[in-house]
Amino acid sequence: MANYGWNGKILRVNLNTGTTSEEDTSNFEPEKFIGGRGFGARVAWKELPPDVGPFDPENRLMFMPGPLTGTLAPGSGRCTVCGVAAQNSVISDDAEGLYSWSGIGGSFGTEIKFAGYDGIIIQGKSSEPVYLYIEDGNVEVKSAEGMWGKGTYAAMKEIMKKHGKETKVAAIGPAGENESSIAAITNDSESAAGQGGFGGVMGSKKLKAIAIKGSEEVKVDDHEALLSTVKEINHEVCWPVSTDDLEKGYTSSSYSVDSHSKACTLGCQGFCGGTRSLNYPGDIQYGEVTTFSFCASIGDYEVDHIGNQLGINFWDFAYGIVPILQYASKQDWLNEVDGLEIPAPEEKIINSNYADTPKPLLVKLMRKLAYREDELGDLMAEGGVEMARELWEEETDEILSRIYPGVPDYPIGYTGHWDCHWKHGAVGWPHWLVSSLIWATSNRDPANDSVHHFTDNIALYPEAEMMNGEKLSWDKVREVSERLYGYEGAMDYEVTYDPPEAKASAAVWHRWRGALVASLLLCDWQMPRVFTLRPKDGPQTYPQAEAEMFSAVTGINMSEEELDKAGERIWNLERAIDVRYGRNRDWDESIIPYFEHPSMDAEGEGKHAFDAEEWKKQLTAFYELSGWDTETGRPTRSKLEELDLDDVADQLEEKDLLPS
Amino acid sequence: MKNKEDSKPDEGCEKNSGVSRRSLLKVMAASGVAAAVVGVSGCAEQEGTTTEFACPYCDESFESETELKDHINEEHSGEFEPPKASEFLEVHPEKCVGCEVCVLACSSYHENAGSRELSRINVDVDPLEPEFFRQRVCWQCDSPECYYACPIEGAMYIDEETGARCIDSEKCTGCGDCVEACPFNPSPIKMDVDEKVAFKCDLCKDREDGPICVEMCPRNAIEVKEEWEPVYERMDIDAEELTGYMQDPDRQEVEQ
Repeated sequence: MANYGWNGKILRVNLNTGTTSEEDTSNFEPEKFIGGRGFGARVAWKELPPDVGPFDPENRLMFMPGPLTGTLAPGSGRCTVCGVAAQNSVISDDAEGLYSWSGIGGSFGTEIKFAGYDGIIIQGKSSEPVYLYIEDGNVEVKSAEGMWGKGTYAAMKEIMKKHGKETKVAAIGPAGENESSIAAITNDSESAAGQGGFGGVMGSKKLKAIAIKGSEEVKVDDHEALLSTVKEINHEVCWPVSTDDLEKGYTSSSYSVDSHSKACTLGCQGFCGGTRSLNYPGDIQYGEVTTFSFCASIGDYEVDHIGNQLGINFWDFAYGIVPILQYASKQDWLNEVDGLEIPAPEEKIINSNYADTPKPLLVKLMRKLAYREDELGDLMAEGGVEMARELWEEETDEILSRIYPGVPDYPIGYTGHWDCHWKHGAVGWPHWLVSSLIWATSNRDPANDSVHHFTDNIALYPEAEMMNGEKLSWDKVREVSERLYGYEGAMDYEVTYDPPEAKASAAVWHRWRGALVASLLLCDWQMPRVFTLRPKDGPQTYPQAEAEMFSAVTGINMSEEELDKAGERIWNLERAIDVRYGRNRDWDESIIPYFEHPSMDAEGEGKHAFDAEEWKKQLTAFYELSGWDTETGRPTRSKLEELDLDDVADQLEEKDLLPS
Repeated sequence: MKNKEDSKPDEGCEKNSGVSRRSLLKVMAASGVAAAVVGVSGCAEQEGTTTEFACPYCDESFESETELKDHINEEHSGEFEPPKASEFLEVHPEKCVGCEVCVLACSSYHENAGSRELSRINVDVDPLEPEFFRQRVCWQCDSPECYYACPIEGAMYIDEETGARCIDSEKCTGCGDCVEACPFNPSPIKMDVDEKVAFKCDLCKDREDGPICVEMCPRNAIEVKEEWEPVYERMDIDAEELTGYMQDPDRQEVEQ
């Protein structure tokens, strides 16, 4: 194994016994699986059979940075949290949860690397609340008594007071402690692994927090080459911005808060984080605080912040639970909670703007959820689908199918996270066909690869100004599309279903690249550079940046194609894990009803729905381009062997899960 | 302490006893600037031995540093030139996003390492206290205490073109006097891991395109400034506040 990029060891903590051990990173085949999501999938394939539930002590909670983490690469400071996800726990009677993953910003990933590790695997369950303290290779399991029950922010402060303020802390709040399926893990005040409900997994292990202090550096093979690639891209933030804005200290209008935007993580060129000062109403224990946060513009900052302290995944709360309760109010099933009226949407079936909901009600609901107060709180803690089903049974099918693709059979999708079809991030027809294919095959919500890579780019760049003052133009967009996906029509707004490969090719490419970016590990908002605004002779794209940086850091020369192969391998391994849970074409197609509802455009008007039959042809094309069986949607032996996953093929065959 | 020409080593004096002719000269060059007292630490009397503070410009000697300074100010003012004012780096807090690209770019370029410790520029932010922002990069002071304090001929020098206060790593013995003398704490002058050599920002004087941090910053938040301003104005704070930055006897960390 190379001496660069990776540190060479991975920490394993067994909370049953309180013991720790180190494993050689080379055992994880870093050249094949890279790190991050790749390592997570590899561990899951070997150690997490389908009968392991999210809250079983045997579940692994993994924090996996990658070989580029801790370097200059854009947004490299992130890491991936992997394991059997609690948020998927309603999936079926056979499996209590599905393997999934969630990205987390902040400085936690960097600090894992600086402390000398390439990842942390936590298994078992402590009998008492504990936290982990790691300092440059020394690991201690310490009592978290007195910290249990506190908010994420308070826990971080307490630990930093004890171990020094340079300590980086990832913590859970009351929602995680109470094993909510939609609990988040938070670090650096508000950077969170929200999707997947890994906060509840952490809580089930009685692990309040992980605190790390590291003083090592990440060894880079060729600093000059790394500097040169980063220099190429570092004056372009992840959405187009004028030089003038940059000079002024650019604050994106959609993300601005009362202070200026901030990098959540090392090497960030996106600045979607921000700082803000808040003064809370009396019933919140935190008083006046200033936070450094991911400022998702999804509603009220005070409410967001309270949710972060309680450790709740906002997406499910704000875009699942709240709209369902509003719908319930409209149906007169439930009009008030503890004397607070639930407003009913007037016309639309869903009022997606949760900021319209009164603050006291939102705070009341979140506290009930986090502490599992009364029946409603207890059900909300299980997520929107479980809550709706338990309370109003199949009467809620209509509303659920508008929020959670796959319901009722496969309610895997987390709600509304930038599918680009509902209100958020609407990029318009037909671009969301790509995200629909990605979601259909996803082991989590679609934001992992589709929006931040494909739809954000297609929404933001075509009219963007290049550094020479010219507009990028749709002609150049088509050139980029041809270069990346092999089909001009992938990014063409005039191309819908024909040929089916057009949109499917983009979905497949972003699947592979997404798995790669989350393994290297870079910010999925910044990489890949689908478009570049630096005028070029060829297509206005810079897809080889990842390979250049990987080679510079690790000293292992890999071309763009070779590295994409690693991405494809990781993605196929994740698919094999899904297949082990029974995943098949039916499952993928369960999202169809969701996309048959007309999408919302910027004005909130429903216009486009897709044609299911035409879309199925696209799904077939997706499978074909992936080298999968079109009937079952499962990877074939030849594809798996091509990816050096022979053992995976063997094991699937043993279980009769390999397409014949 | 090494190579101090006039020092009387280890005669019960914890610090250097006496001041080298050269370093005193440099200190005096900045007399009239309040901060100049830093860096001249004498150990006046030790068991009958008196350390004399000799005037570098005449034959007189004095029992205390203050007397010597007064003497030089009265008798020899105008006999020496202060070093050339330097260009300096200014980080604009309103543009800085805390991504630390400058930090890693600096250590990559100078040390072939991606390391905060080995970087000549640091930006300290506290996620739990976002108002907190502290840049740690040498201000290239007009009255460079580090330069005056350095006991080795040529180990610290003034770059002719930029005016940057530079350390010659070949000559530096790692005594740490420059770090001690630096009025900022933590000092932007750092000691390498083996404590054998001090290093600091030299404005990338040998780099064609200027400072690497300036070029790499994705927000154009770092600027090379040429025009001199008092340090507290550069830092956009009051003169009184600046005293909070100055080195205090306990060397407690002073936070912005």
